[in-house]
Amino acid sequence: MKLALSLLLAMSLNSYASDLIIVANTEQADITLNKRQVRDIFMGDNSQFLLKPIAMAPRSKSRYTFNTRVVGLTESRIQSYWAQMRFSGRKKAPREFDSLESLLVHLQNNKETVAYLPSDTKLPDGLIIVYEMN
Amino acid sequence: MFINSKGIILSALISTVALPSYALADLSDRIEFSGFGRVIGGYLDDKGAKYEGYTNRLSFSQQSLFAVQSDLELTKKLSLSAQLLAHTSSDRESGVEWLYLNYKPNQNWQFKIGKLRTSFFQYSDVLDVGFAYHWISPPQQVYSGFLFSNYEGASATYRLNLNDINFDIEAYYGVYEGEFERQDERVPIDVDEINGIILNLNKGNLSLRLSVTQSADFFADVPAFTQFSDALEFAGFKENAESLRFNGKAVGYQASLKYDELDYFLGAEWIKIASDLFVIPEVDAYYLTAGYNFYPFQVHVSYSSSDTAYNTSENLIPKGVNPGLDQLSFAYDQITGNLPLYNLDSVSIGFRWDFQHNMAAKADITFLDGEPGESSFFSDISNPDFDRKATLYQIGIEWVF
Repeated sequence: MKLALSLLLAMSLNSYASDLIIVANTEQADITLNKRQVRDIFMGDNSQFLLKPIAMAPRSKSRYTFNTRVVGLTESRIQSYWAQMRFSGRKKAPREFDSLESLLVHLQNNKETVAYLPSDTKLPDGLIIVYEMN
Repeated sequence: MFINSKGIILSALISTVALPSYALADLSDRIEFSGFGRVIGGYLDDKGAKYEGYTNRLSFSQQSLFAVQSDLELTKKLSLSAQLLAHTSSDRESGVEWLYLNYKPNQNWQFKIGKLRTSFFQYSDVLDVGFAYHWISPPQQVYSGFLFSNYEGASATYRLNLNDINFDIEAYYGVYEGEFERQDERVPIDVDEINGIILNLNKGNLSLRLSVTQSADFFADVPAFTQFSDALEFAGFKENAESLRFNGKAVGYQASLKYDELDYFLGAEWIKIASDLFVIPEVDAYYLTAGYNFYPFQVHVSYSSSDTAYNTSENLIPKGVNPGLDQLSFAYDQITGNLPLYNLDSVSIGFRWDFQHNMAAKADITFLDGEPGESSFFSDISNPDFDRKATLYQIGIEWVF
């Protein structure tokens, strides 16, 4: 039991610490972003790039990693922020997906969208990496 | 004038909806419903007064509310949003809080027209959305609503990015027709011109907000003031008569700073209201707040303070000339001497638990220290010896969907 628990803990820590890639479906072939630009795009603060962000639903591991390491806020601070933006009519949170598969399908079918994915995701054709987190 | 009546603007919006440019079949893709709610209970540990409507009997009907928002995409760039709100407090009207057309021609510009919430201060336009902030009640010294909660008009926002700093500049213009709370009384008021400009700057998780709002061209119906003002004018004291009317203006200045980290957050907001009206005091108020995050929990502490005064005209009515003038002069002194003052210091500590990604439980304790003899944001003061010191306990559940 103890072993199983510690294994589980080790696995979860390992997956929380995993790296992400930021992937876009875009015509702008030479686009690369820095961390702040990625943060701004996903927090609705971007006025530079024509990229629409999409995200994983809360509780997903990649979302947790993205919040912690790119945005630098807890899930509850991010939810509060989006409540303020949405109900004051300023901005809307990125559309959320429950599974990586459905997110990838949307990404593939919609030009100028951008998403964060676990770095070991096998990328379908047509998607390019615009930022790598390591 | 730019917009002159509620009727015109509402019918313009409704006719836009009545001319659908979409097929009915894809309506479900173009309409989104969302909303928010809160159930808040509060208890004040003093029998002699009320604070935010709370007394020394636990009440859940002062701040609890429920709202639904619908956003209808008319075209890729144009949408219509409406927010309907049901409030438990008898001081608040339930109904349409927001109703506006939103036009976003590109990533830099956003225009809104309709019935909008006034974004005077950092949280003014989301005061009802408790989920959006950490307190149960944002500090009353800043957020008690000296100005107006909404207006009918238009706003334009321009966003740009310069050297990793995001700028967001918003300008708005409109009118207000409604009621105003003054010393437990609801006073009908019209404001024919509300305009303002807001500058938001942010770099990563550091943000700065600066704003100026001007409200001018008032009409307020306080019968006692109006009659007395007429009597003063008849007796030849024009300046004092004028001071009791509402031809002046109120200007609000605001500055706030917010810094968010994974583990903690810091915030401060300062406001100043300059007013030459008797219905709106001159206000100097601020709060400092800090919190510690240990997801899904958060603890926070805040200190808030306010200082108020009135820009009253000097009493030019001589005393000792004749009994009639004496009466007028003393009455004028009495009016100017009895204008409600709102000096208050408070410390609040609070706890928030986000037990679901869209639901939070909160508990706050606020220690209030007002000025004896003043209103200090207390109302219905029944005990003449009440020292304006009390503790407010609040608990609540907040959610968004």
